[in-house]
Amino acid sequence: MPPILEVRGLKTQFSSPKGFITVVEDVDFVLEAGATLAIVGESGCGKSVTAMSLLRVLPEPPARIAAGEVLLAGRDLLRLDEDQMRKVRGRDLSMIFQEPMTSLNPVMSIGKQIVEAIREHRAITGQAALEEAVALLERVRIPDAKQRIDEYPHRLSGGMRQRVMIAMALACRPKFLIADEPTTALDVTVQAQILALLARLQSEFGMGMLLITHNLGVVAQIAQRVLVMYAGRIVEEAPVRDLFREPLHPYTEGLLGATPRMHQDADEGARHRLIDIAGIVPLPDQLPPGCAFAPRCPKAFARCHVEQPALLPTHDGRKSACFLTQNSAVTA
Amino acid sequence: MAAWRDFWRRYRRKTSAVIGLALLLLVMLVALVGPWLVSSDPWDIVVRPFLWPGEDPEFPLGSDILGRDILSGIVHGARVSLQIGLAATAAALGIGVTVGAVAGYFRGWPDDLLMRITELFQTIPTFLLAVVLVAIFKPSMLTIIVVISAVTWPAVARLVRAEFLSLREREFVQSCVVIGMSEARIIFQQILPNCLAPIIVMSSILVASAILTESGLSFLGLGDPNLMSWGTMIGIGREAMRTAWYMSALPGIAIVITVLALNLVGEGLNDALNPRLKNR
Amino acid sequence: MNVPLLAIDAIQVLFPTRQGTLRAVDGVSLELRRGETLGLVGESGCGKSTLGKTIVGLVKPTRGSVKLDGAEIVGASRGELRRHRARMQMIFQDPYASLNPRLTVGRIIEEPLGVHNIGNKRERRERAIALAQRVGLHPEAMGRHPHEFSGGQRQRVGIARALALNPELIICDEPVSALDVSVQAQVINLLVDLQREHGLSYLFISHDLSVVQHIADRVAVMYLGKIVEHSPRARLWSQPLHPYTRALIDAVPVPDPEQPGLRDQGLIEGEIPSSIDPPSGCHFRTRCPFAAAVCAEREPPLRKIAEEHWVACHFVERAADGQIRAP
Repeated sequence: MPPILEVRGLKTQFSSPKGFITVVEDVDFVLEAGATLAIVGESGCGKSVTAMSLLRVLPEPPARIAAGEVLLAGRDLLRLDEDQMRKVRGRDLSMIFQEPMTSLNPVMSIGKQIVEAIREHRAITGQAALEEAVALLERVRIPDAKQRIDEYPHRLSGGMRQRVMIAMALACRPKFLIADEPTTALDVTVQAQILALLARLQSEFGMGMLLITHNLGVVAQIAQRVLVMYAGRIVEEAPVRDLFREPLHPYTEGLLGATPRMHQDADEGARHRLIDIAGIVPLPDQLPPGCAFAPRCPKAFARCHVEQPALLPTHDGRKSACFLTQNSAVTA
Repeated sequence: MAAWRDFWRRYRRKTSAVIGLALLLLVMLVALVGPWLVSSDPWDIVVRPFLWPGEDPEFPLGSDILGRDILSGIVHGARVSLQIGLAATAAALGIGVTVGAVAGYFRGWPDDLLMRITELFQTIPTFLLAVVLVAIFKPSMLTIIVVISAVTWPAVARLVRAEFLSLREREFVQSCVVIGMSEARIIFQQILPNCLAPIIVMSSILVASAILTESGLSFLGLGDPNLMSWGTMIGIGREAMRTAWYMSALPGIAIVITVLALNLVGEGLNDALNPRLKNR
Repeated sequence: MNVPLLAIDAIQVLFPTRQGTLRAVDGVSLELRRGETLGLVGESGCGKSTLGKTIVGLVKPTRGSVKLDGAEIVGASRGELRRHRARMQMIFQDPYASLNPRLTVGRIIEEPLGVHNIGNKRERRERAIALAQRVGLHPEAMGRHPHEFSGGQRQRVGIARALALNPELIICDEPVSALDVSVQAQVINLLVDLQREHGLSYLFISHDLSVVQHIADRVAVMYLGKIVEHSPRARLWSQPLHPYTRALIDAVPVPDPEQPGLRDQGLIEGEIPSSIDPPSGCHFRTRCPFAAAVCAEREPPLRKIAEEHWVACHFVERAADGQIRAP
């Protein structure tokens, strides 16, 4: 049975002077080995908090995981103590972040950091670990790995640092990798290289990857399934092809319409106008009653402002949290 | 006005800051009103010398080696300390802010020149300068204020310069250049109001250190001989330290309370003024 | 009126550093016509932002000229520069740093009018309110401070401020890069509408090709301080000639799963070299799959290869039969 990571009913809160504010709620998904699941959404939707909750790297005050289960090989990660969790991080479940400069120790050479990551989980000699570290750097396509191994992070470019971080994250061959906006801070050409690298490593290692991003282009290129998040909840889940061809939730429609597309506009004729979604994302402590997206939704009706739609399956392995789709599912 | 209310709400969250403020207000009250409530001149000999505090209800803090009322001295000393502290700080701010703003905004050779001058003043030992100035001019309140501000302004200039160097590159300042705003207006209207917070915090510390410096100078006899300051009182009581230690201790306590109050207020201001940056 | 609104000629912006000379902008010539949007794309270190700042007078060029409607800006006197400033404004990238946090939104929008002594107090206030409404802000917003608004709203304040003086040209320096997709769409639509209404010209600087392609009429691609290709929008995407332009287009993840993915094509290798001591000859040769000896010896000039289409590459040529050959 290939390993899976199953998240059920995740609910994460942050404490504030006004009490606990729910930032992520009711998040369910399954991450399979060898596949990429993307979580896409704009800032404040809770996607990063979701990712960090899985690895329990949120500072426990002010954050707290109020409910849910994160099942990995039968164990609920949320019930483990810190020692047990530390064994999981890096070995079974690993993460890479957006800003490699802040995730790498500036006063340690990159070789030393990778070796540390390796020896954290495996009992091998320093020499053997160093050889593995060089091999890893070569695998992430860092040129002259044997010389570069002794360099410090600030001597490397953004793309290089990101590769080092990937090498560290994969040092112990985790079954699952969480990539939180791994390419947002990089130049376009470097971004493409890193994404291709991640895709290649994923198939080589047979890993499952959870990709957090706000960029629909990245989702289309890399992921097989996608979750769309808004105001802390999942509003749509679908295979990537289906989502782009026929978005079910009005927010997804809005996001797709708001994304400028090169090939579409390439002809000499009049430009098409981007669809803009009026209004702004509500703050987690100021959510409107009913569906959080209703005030901005062009298709909202009375029920939307009163009752919150649940995330229900529609058809073909898709889910949507919208009364419109649920009605059609009933009548279909 | 909502900004003031927010500020006060943040300030009063820190108990030590509120205590500091209360003490400071007390000292200011004493300085303002006190001299009218006690006997006129602290230099007047009004009772037998070496009177201990509590012995005579009319002189609750006792008398010094010549029979002068210590309470009167403390009260008048409060006024002296605060006056000198505030005046010296105001002067240091005036010079320091100007120098720092010009150096930080224009950079290049004005910056180099002004920084060399600043360094020069920073290396002058306070007491040496006091001795020299007192020797040249007669010792007076003005001399002390000049001495203290002369050695204090460099720290202000450094702070303001650092703020200007960083703020000047911010996009909102660049935006003002793009709309054609004059340099003077950018410096005073745009950048300066945005670095008030650290300047304000520093000011309370500066007043505290000015008071300490003044006390030290007066103790050494370099202060204004006509003014009864806390430092002077400590100096007078020095000879009787073994037996009548209260003569030095009481003004000493007054200094400690005032300086402590100023430091607590400074910390409170720091905490209250900075959270705004976190509110993004 | 054949004089272009903005004419940049051989601009060089060089910064001396301890490690050598940083060649931020290394010989750029461009023209911007009235009413058009010229997009300027490139990755980090290409100099597009520095070029924008040079045009608007924030940075002094080491060499070269910038002419606004025929009048030279570089080296202009203070008074002249001020007059030019009224015709040429800028929108900045960071909505959190581009507004003075201590001023109210109303003050921020009014400020340019006050600086140029336009109208009296009441007239300025009215104009500011009108501008705020035009960019989609509530009149109530006028009394509030920037930190009470979202990134998209702050960007609108910046746009209103840039419009206050009725400029003819607006330099947009990555105006939507810091915004979410849906907000980005709002601001882009606003910019397009304003252009139509006021006959504005834009120099739109961005690293995001999809956005530039959407809004620009013509696009110039920069690499390490130089322009490598320059053509009308549609042609750039249907017929990119310079190897870097092609690499850039290939690298953009297209939001369409049906299009060939990043896994399937040969991507460009390597990283952008430093602008201090860039590669000799053609700056792109260290990453170019077609580089040859001549590329290291001689710098390829920006040549006109077709109507409105300029390329700087030794191997792009127009054959006798009119066909364009590219590597």
